[in-house]
Amino acid sequence: MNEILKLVILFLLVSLLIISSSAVLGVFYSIPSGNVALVKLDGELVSFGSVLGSQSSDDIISLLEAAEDNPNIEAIVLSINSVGGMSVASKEVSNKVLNLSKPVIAWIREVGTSGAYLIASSSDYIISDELSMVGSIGSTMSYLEFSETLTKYGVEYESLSSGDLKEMGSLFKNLTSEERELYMDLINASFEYFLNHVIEQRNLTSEALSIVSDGRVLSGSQAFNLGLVDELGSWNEVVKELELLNIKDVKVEEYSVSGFFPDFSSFLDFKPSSVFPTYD
Amino acid sequence: MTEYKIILPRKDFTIIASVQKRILAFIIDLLIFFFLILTPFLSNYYSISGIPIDKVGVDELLNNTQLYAIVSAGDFTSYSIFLFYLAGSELLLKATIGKRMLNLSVISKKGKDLSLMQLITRNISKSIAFFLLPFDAVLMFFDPEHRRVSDFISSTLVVENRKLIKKFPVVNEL
Repeated sequence: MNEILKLVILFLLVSLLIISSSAVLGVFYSIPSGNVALVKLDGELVSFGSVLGSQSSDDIISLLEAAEDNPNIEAIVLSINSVGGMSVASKEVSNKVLNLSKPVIAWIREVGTSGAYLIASSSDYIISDELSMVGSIGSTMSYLEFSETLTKYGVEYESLSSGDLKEMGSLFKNLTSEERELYMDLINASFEYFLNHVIEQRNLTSEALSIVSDGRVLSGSQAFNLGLVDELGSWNEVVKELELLNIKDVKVEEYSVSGFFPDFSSFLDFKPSSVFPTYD
Repeated sequence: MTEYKIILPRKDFTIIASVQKRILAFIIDLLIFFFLILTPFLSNYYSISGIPIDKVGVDELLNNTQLYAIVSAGDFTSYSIFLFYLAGSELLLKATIGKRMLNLSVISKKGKDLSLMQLITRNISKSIAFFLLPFDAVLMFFDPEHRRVSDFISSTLVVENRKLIKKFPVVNEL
């Protein structure tokens, strides 16, 4: 065979290999091309047993990490529609937001209270609607107690425990004063962490602090006046803020948990989050 | 006047390629790799995958495992294409383009053309030898036949091309 022909064959083979392998590999490893990540925080935040209407902190953290790892993403918008959730789950997400190297804008839509506000307060800028529900700084814990119902139906509850306090929080007996005190310590520790975090992040005045620390829910306007929110507005204000961050031609990439069907298997081990201290 | 063809055994005519020529041929092949393989491959790969590689710093690359994996996959594939180019050119042209430009060719130690097995072992061993490049270079200088690790493994030699078929007129005196 002619040498030139062999050279042409070699050139064609190598070119074909370059084009096909780079295309296949490029499609396989393609990453979202938008420059702003939209991460939605909807529903109750839990650290385990997520069901419909709730979101796992692990999922939110992995979405934030994916946005952080994507070199195309220049800023992250956290769209919040949540009343909070378990205190540790909220704290985990809040810490993640705090440690992100990219700017984060929290956009509170209908509601951003309690644990959801804890997370928002870790962001660089908070925008909410004037009608949004914001705040509810505090910790709460509740459960249904059936002891009198059981007695009414002649059911006796027998408990055998290694210690007096081992069974504190049982649904079938009243809380003793000691147990109540211990639970209040847990709740107060959780509340103190929340309050200190907000003080540190938002630089609130003592007047604002005295108002918000009772756990009340505020409107967006009230929250803005007290310094819990940086700006009142909606998506347009979010885009303006992104442009101030020197992000031109905003192209939003929504980050969401993949999977077509909801994970019903987690119904089986679902435990109501309210038996744990929660930022609800 | 009758023309006779006298075919002489290749080994008798073997002149081992000099180290300088081999290094120069290697540099030419590296330039071919860089401009004709690596650059078009990576530009196509990164444009399809959407990775703004020009914006990615070294720190970000080292701290971002996903990004590191993506970049490594690209590097590994382009290097594999380079090995394919080396093997393909030795199969079709009996030497890489760099060697052909300097009139060198690759033969087996016995003076014959490369077998398929020699071609495969030679080029696979090049990927191992790539990590031993300084050792490989020193070995080439001290070996009397200027062989690299891949030459040792595959029993091959890089030689200067000489006309193997000599044509000369013989006067028929009868």
